[in-house]
Amino acid sequence: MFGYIRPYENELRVRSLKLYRCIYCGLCKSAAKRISIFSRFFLSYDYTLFAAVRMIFEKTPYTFTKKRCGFHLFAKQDIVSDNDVLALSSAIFSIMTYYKVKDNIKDEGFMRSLGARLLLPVVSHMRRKAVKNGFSDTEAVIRDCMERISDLEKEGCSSPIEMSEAFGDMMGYLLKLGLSEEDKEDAYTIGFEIGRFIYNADALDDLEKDAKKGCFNPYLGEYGDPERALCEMRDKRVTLIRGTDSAADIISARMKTLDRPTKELCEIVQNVLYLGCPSVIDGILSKKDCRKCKEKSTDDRKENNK
Amino acid sequence: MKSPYEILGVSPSASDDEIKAAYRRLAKKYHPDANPGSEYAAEKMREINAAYDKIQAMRSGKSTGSSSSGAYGSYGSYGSARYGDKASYEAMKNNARNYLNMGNIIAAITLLQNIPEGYRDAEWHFIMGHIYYRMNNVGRASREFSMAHSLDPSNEEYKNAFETINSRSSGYEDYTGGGDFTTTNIGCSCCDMCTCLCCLNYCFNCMRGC
Repeated sequence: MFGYIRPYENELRVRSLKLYRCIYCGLCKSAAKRISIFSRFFLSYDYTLFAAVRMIFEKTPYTFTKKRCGFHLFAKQDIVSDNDVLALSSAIFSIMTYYKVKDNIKDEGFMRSLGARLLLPVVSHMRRKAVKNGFSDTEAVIRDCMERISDLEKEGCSSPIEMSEAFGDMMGYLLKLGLSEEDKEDAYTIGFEIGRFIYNADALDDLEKDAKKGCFNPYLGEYGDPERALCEMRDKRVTLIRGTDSAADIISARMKTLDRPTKELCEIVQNVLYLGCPSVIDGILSKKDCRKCKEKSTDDRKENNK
Repeated sequence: MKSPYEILGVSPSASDDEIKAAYRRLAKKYHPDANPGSEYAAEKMREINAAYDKIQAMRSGKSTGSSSSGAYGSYGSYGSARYGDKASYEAMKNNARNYLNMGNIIAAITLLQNIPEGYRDAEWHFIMGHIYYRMNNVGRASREFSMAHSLDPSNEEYKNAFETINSRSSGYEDYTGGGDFTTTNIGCSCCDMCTCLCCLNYCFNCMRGC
């Protein structure tokens, strides 16, 4: 489900890339301190983007500190110091990991879900700790939305749009909770589009695996088989990335009113949404050509050679 | 942005009793007394109440203050036309277009969703596509434009909308890739310096001559 939010590093300034990594490391340290030392194994860059967007809206005055970590034993690393946004992000990823593990246990058979079952006590502790740290509202949002998604799956919803919007709704609420009234609509839109993108990318990436195992996938429900689904979505590629584009447009519009440190966060978010997301989608859609696409590309080559 | 029917989780063709039942079920779940101190529950409760009020206003035919406009009449006044004739549905579609042009997206989508399924023609899907596009929901917009084009393939407007939405480029063209590298025209440019040097040279030559 996660790991699809990545920066397009070739177009990112070295300084911005370092800042993005500092936020990631800061999030890891914050989670280890506030939640559990095992949380770092479940962290992904998706939550780093969430933290960056939230810091833009809250105009958080972030600072840096040097810390040693388990993956870099010999030299201290620069990381973003712990703050409220990192605390919120670490709570979110702890709770989301719990529900993701529970979902895996429910979807797969006993033997296949053995790994997830062994992780359950660890992630349950992470969720309880996050709630104890004052993020019960966050837990309510995730529980409510995951229940709705689960209900839609049980009904056999064959609309990728409806499923991705349900996930986007969750991310929208997580991003907007606690913000001022004038920021809520923009924050919800950005969270909604990021959530929709993550769901669509995950569903398209898992098409073959879900088809083999008979797992739920709305694209299989709509198009029948993985090849046809990928082929159709290649034609509708713009519908997958236009949402993240419009989310990035909101950030671009806000940039003019922000100070330099917060503007640097905007640059990272723009890169991820304008460039990183389309690059991820292109990678997924180019995985397997169906016969129709191969015939089409052969016709195009013949046309060009004339 | 969601329509009032989507917020309550009911179909636009649901009966008044079904809508009331959905409202009561959600109100019980998100009521502040059942969720003390929860901002999420308070937010959901506000949305549910606003959605229920909008649907009630639409169906009872009353105006809703700021969401109606004198120039185009209250969209609530077409509530009774749910069971009316084709002409009143045409009027509702025109009003929805007008609301969309004014930026009142919720009024436009609520009006359209009150048109029964049997009367949802190509034009209905076309206007709906525009509404979803304004809500930045390109996935749904593409689907609606595709429906409009397939229901009326001879209409160039629907065909153009369908082709445009599936080929729109991203906002990347405006993205500089590196942020604030823009230079503003403060101080001297090269032309200014050359001009100044030429003038100084001329003045020098004049002064030498004096």
